[in-house]
Amino acid sequence: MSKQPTRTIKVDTLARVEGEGALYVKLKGDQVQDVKLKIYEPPRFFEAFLRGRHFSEIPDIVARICGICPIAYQMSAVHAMECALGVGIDPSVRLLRRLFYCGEWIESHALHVYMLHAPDFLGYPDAISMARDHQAIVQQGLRLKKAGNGIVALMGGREIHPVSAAVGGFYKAPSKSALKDLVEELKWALDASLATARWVSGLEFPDFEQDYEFVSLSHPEEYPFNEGRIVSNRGLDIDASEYEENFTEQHVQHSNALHSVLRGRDSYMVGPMARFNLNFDKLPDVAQQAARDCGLHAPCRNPFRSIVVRAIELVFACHEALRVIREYQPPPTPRAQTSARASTGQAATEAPRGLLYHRYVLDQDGLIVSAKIVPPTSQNQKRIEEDLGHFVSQIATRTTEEITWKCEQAVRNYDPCISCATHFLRLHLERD
Amino acid sequence: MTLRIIGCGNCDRGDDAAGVLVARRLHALCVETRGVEIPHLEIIEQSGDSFSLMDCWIGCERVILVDATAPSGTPGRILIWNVNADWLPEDIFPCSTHAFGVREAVELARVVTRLPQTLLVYGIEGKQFSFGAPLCQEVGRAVETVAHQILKLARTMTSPAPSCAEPSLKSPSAAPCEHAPGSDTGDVSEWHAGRCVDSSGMTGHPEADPPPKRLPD
Repeated sequence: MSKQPTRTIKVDTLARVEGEGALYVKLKGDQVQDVKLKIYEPPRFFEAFLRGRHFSEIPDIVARICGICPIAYQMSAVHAMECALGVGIDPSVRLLRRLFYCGEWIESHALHVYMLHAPDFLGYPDAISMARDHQAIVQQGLRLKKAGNGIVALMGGREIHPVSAAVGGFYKAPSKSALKDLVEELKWALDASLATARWVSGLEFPDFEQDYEFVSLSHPEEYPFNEGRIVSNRGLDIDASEYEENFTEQHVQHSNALHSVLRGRDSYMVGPMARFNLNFDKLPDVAQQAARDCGLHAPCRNPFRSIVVRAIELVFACHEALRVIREYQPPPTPRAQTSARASTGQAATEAPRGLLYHRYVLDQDGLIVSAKIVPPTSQNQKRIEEDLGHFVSQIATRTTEEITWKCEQAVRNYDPCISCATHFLRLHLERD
Repeated sequence: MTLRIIGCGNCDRGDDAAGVLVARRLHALCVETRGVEIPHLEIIEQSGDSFSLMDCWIGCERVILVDATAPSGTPGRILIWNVNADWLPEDIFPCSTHAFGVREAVELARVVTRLPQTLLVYGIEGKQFSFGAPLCQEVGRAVETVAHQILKLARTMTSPAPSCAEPSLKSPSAAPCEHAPGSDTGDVSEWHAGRCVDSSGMTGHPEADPPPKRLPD
């Protein structure tokens, strides 16, 4: 019997993802022997240094976990604190939080669709090279991202690491006229998002589908941001307070980020595809129609088509932002009163990359006794490795260079934020 | 015409703070020298998302950007590029989020024709970039040097106008970081609408000047 050659594919530093990681794939002949998404970015111990801090400080501290999705961290934190302290929020504050999240989704999705993922489909090594041939498209992406930045800057006091979110509401609520200033650009952004969806739906997608367990929030009346039950396409339906009974984190030697799995089951997917598949009927008509026009139907099981799903969520976020601005009336007071008590609170919200779970235990003075944060990339990590294993099997006869390119693209389907999960990718492909 | 100074960096990562500290020092110098005419000077701190960097110079045709550069054995070394004349070199600016930093932002802006009419980039070579690391002494001195150089540039390049000694400081945080006081204000480059003159007295149009220009440490 002839000895089959072994190839090792290594990407030592994967580009266009947030954070530092590497990819290792070992092939024997056309058979995948091993796949590892190696996250070597050192852990930052946020959960540890939150201990002993007052609950009111937490939204500003956790915003520092990520420069791309600080609002998600703030929202999961304030909702968990409000759960712990029994604080109810004004309906206008609830609307403002949805608007705040719209800004982050627009920023994050525009960045990923145009600058990080599209170059993969069009055969460019980066957005700069792509811009030389597709200047108008890149200009459109930059302007869309800026429309999201505008919401975040207005709502959060600044574009990066906003400072306005507070337990019970906001430190300051914007005036109706201040929000109206955003309208014209958001109307443009809605049209641009529809154009984005048409554009990305025409890209070429590998023929690759997997049988995923999708997990996301689900709300009876709206596409989820801050509220809802945690559900899956395989019968999971729990409150955020039951998260740790149903999910567990596992340490694997090759990663500084923990792998999250469903207890008694296995890996699962969070993020835009999970949300879209589980909440399609909650999308506004304009987004549902845009999806149909793109040939995108729930359930979508091809992770490469996540770029189209993100475009549909851009449509939703722009439409939702305009709705909120239309309906908004400033709250009588921007922030509900809070008082400390010994308690525990859990919350999950939908970060651009997926479900983000927080749990805090407070003492009678409102100081943090313990904190637990499970970011979306940590939850998707095992699923990314499984995708790669199956996908490399399909393309194993290709050159090492082609496999490497496609593997990086497959990782970017998840828009991983390795910084959040612990943080860039190196692919190592080994063939005998 | 407005001159906008953009100081980039992260104050929690050692010498990466250099650009932000130049912005803050420049602002302090302007306050200290109240009465000296520096019209139309704006100072911005930029920390984090480099994809938004080009938004920082929208509406302004004369911009100076300051950032830390990657270590290469000469901490505190100051390099200056006339970006309108040449590409920024790869691998000299530390990576930012999604491996998209100052160089990528500038080069993307060039491709999509969103560079200001004149953009000068100051790089200060750093030594340590780990979380919570202090600023090294060499970078502290370079911050002082660059702040004084830019201040002199700002004075020479602005047209006579009513006194406006305190420029606007668009900053998310007013509190300055502590850093080692600079001891060397060095010589100063003069920069006039697309022409560069470095401290060695070499003068020329940007097209004729092979950047980077190295100033004395």
